[in-house]
Amino acid sequence: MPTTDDQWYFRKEDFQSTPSVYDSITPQDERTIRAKGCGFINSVGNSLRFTQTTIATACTLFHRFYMRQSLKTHHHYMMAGTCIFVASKIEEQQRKIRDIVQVCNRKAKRTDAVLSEDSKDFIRWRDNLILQEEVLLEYNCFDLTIEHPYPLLLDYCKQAQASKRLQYTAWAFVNDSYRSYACLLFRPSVVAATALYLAARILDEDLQMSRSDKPWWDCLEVAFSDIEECSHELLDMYTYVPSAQSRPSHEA
Amino acid sequence: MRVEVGEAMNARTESRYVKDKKIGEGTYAVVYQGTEISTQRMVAIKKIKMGHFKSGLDMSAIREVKALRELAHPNVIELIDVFSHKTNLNLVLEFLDTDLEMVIKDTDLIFKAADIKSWLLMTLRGLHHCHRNWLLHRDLKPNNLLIARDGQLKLADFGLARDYGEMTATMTSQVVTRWYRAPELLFGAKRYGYGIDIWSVGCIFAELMLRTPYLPGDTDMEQLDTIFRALGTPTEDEWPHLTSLPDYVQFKAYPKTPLRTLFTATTADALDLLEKMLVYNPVKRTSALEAIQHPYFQNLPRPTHPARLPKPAMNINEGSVAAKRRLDPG
Repeated sequence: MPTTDDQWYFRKEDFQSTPSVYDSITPQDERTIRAKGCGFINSVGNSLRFTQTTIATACTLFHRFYMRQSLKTHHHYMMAGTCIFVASKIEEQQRKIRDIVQVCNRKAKRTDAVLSEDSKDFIRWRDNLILQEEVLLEYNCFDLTIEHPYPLLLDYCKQAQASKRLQYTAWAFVNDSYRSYACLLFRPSVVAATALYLAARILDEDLQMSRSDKPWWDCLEVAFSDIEECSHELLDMYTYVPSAQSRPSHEA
Repeated sequence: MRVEVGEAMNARTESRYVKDKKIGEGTYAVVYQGTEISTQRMVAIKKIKMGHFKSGLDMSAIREVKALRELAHPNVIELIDVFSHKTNLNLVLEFLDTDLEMVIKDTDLIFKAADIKSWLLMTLRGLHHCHRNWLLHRDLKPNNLLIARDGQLKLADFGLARDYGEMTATMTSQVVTRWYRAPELLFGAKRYGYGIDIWSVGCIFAELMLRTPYLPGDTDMEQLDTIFRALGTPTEDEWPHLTSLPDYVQFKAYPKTPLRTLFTATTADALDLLEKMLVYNPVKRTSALEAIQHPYFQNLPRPTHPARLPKPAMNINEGSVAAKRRLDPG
């Protein structure tokens, strides 16, 4: 079965004609709602102590799904929960479904209350996760191997002999990138290079690739024009995601 | 224009195949023999039961789809398509009518040394492809090595397969059918690597020569005892950190007996390769690539061409027995 991940990369103008936009959600609102969904994935994922890879996989499944389905037919929190559920299986970090349900409910309602397992809310969450799992997989065309910028970033940091501070900051930029459309617009190598670039700019550190006089992005075989474009995508996100404004967060 | 891409695509996929008849049923799937309408190609359709799982789609199904979508190799079963129907997930796989276990058990067949070399080489090629793609199979045994009509051997049943990068992630040691399970797994190792698959291949290699399972133990403890009787009890010297494995227990110190005593008719190069696959220290065990490059495969006789390998006399009904047996757990 051929795997073409080309179908998962889009042009900027494609976001003006998504299923949600046809459902009369403005492109800007869609961005905000999707960022919220990914924020939800992040906080549920962190509570369940998932790795950043699992969280990133969940966010990618989420974004890919909404390129084919509308936010009006599938509520973003319910879908975000399903993405976490499926990602936990894909990335071999299974949790009991009842634990996922409890955390989803807590984060969605911002309470500390524990649901009883025969309550309406519990059953609704659980049944939805199981039902939507298949829908999510289907619209994701069963593409279950998803590459992320993290391993590349570690490699780039090594090549650049980046300080710990620089590494953490760049890592946080990658974490935050999932709230934007970066994973639908740019390959993991571009996102990793951009995160490193932005981190160096913020911290006012110089990037010097060892063993080369070429500009550092050339050593990584990433075009600087891509880094510039991706920088805009990432930085724009901080203006429309209220909760991300005080970030980047240092969740490594 | 608003298109339901996923759903439409899914319906299109589904309509490309017909299910002909049920050929087997296991704990998490029913297998049908089917046909790809456009090409009249025979396929196997593995229908994953979803409904009765309390935690949604079974991990084996997820692992299998994930692994097979990444792998395309003549010695790995081909995943042709995936589609869902109502609440079932369907994997369309290439149809293969027999497996290595059936071949080994068929007493009418005589194996030449070159035949064994050919099956082993195909197994290692498929396995090397998995390992090159950072994937552990974790359940190699003769009945997971399927054989196509043209004699090509193909690794199948990726329900336990998982990504493997470095020795960092902990994994369950409850993998691999007991007789083919590496000693580090039997001692409860949670960090292990490609060596566990190589151990299984070693056991399969020996089984091809002996025509009977090489190390059949009835319980995990007996399995270790069987291994140590055959290959000698390992010492901390040849296998560092052995005694600190989670489930380590001390065994009677069996002496090392040369493989030659059991494998009397085998050539020296074959025994050397077998020995390298059954090294106790997982770090020192040979890799799939090293094994492929071993002199055994360069020396004469040349491996038999797949099409000329011995094959059980088959009718379609026997094929379904194989498919059914494959699905039975354990």
